[in-house]
Amino acid sequence: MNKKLVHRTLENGLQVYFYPDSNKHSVLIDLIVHYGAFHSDFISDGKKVHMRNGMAHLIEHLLYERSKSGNFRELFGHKQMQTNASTYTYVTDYYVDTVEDVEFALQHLIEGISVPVFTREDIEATKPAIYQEIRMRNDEIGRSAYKSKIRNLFQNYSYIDGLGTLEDVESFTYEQVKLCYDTFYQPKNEILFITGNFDVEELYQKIQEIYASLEFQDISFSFSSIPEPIEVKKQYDKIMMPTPKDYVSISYKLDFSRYSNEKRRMLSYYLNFFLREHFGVISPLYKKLMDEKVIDTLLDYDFDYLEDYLMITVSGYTNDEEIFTKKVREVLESPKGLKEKFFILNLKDKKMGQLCTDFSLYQLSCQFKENVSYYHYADFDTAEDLESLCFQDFKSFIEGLEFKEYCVTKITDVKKV
Amino acid sequence: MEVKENIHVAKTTAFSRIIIDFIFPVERNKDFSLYGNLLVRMLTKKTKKYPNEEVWDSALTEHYVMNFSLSKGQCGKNWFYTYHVVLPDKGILKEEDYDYQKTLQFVMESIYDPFALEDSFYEKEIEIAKNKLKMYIESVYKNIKSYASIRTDELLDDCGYFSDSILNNQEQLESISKENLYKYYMENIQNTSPHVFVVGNVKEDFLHALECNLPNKKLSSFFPYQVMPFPINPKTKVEEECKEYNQSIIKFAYKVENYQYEDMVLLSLISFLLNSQSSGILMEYLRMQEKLVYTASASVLTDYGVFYITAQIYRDKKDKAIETIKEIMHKLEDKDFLTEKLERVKMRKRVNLERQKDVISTYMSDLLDTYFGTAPTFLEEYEMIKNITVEDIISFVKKMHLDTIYYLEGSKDE
Repeated sequence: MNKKLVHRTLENGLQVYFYPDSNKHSVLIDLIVHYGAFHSDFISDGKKVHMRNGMAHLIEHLLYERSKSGNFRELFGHKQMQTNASTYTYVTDYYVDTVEDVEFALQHLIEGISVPVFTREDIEATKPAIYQEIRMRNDEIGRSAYKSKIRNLFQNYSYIDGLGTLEDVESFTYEQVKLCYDTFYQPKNEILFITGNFDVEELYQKIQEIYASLEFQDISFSFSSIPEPIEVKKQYDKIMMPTPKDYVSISYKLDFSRYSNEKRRMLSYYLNFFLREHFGVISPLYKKLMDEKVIDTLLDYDFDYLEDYLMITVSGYTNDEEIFTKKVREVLESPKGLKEKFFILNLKDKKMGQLCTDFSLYQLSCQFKENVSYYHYADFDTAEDLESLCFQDFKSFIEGLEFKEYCVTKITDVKKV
Repeated sequence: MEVKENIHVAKTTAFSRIIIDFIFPVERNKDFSLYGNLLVRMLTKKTKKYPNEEVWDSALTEHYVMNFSLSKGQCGKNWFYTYHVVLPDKGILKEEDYDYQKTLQFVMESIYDPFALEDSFYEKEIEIAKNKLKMYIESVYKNIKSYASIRTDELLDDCGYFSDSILNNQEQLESISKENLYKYYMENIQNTSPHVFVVGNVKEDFLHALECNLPNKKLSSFFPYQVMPFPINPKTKVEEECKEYNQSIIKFAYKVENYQYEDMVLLSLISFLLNSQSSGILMEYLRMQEKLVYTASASVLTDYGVFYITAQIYRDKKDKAIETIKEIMHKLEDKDFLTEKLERVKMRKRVNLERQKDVISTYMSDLLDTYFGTAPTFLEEYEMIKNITVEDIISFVKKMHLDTIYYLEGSKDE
């Protein structure tokens, strides 16, 4: 475990992580709930439940805007604190960043999330802003490409994105919201992460006092496992929206079930190095596509997980969809030709970044959340992690990846059709 | 240690990095508006010594350069071409072969020895940069937010202040030759010394290495900063359009009457009052009360005394949104409404001063603003804000004239 990280567990099951830094001038408190956009299917108190997309996000808005202490933006904002909430694939989080009055922030954040006071009317009043958010995101090329990818790669998952559709959100009832809230918003399903300039023992005592005054139900729950085959649902999708050029996205679905969470965390470095070497500005593919005027700008590339599947996506604006898709597929589906010199350079770069980037408190909390969410690893990456990486492992891992199942999304301008 | 007059340092041990801005000021000139935008797309991808992306990328890592980029900004009558370099602090990254002298030599060679022929850039490189720029311009027109901004600014600009924007000079692009572009680079970068700004744990060895590697050329000059106020139009322009988006967007643009440098802090404060979580005026009225938006924001152009409110709305709510925004602006002339909010915002600014100690770019911002006279430092700004009264705000708001209302309806907005 990272030397600076202090871990405690409360009697009610809440996991508390402190990451103090006396050089900082504020404190960030982040309450993380293990309930995210993906969790549409679960068992609560012995009963099977299926929800439409967007419930976790609706609850996030609801608790943030209509907590026991009022709207968090007003409550904390009026005390000069920064605050926000976000729903991710597997977690939802609520944070407050404050220079002063840390105990006030702690008390009201915890109480606001833990003591539900929302009514039917509150739920209906929360929905319009979400409708606007959905409309706003529907104008984003990246978001549209992401939704298409998820829709077409997976046959049996209800999850498309965190927001849901207008119809999804409109359909949610008070009873459904209450059920999901009661099931997942329990201390045993939450993590409190605190970083910045504070005294650990003082704050820990305050946390214990706050939770001692609150009452919680103890509902048993589990996430349903949805069987999902390796085959993709649909191989090609076309979306029409304003775009400067055709935007083409190729996503592969790879079975990652044989790798543990800890292994996946370490393998993520290899995936980063691999994608950079083969699709970054130094890659032969980028050079070739630029020379042949298939692209005019950089390629986008990333990887992501959904349950036991790894998704690798390469995208870009292109003048020739067919050649673009063919060349990207060739790179991924043929022998890789990995070079040790790039591995060494990538490692050096990573080390420099890790040691010499002055992460803000918010960035630290995001790193922590990502590790918790995707790798069930409540800690930070360290220099020792980098030292354990080696070219041979990298080579054999990448060469062992099976690039077979894929889908293509093309975003094209309405005017071209 | 005394340093050369063109090196300005903010020493702090609070960070693990050292950031350096090498700034080349150039006079704004409509005839050259696209030149700089091409240069920023060409000059940090490769150099004469490292003539392709692969070796250049490796060289950055081998020389321990965390970031090397070039940007073009504008300030008053100047464009600023800024090479932004980030290096690890040697005291933190204890690598034996990490040497400031070697790294800074590499940085200076990369600035002054670009990938070029004797008297021109390569044809292929300029073609690639042109295509990237065309792509960027096209993407600006296709994005709902940037499109709405372009259209609002077109309506707003009756003085030609924005005439040197790349969007107003696209026809130049094809006529820019590799020789002319190279000549522009030579005159404005190659033949001059930059103004250098450094923030970090800067010790003698670093400064010595920096001084040794800076060329002995004429320091590029710049126009003293001046605001450029718009004249006021007696009548508000209203323009509506419809395009294929999923949402609609409304923009209000105000011009400040007799705008002066001294008004900058008040103008920014009005924006902060509307946006800040401490006072939350826009969100309180547009989102919580009227349920019109997911997000709305205020923004300013302090060079010109322009103030914007932007809200992304559902098309059926257009009239209500207009009414609410006008009501919000009217409330800024209400003493009872403003008193508590102003106090909160002052406290927020005080608290932000603490927060900003953790942000390295704050130090750089202060260095640049002080040297170029473009704005007060964060501390200076706070000292001014402390003394601002509700009456000051009310008087200032009375000088803000609604120049333009632009509404872009999304035809797919259901």
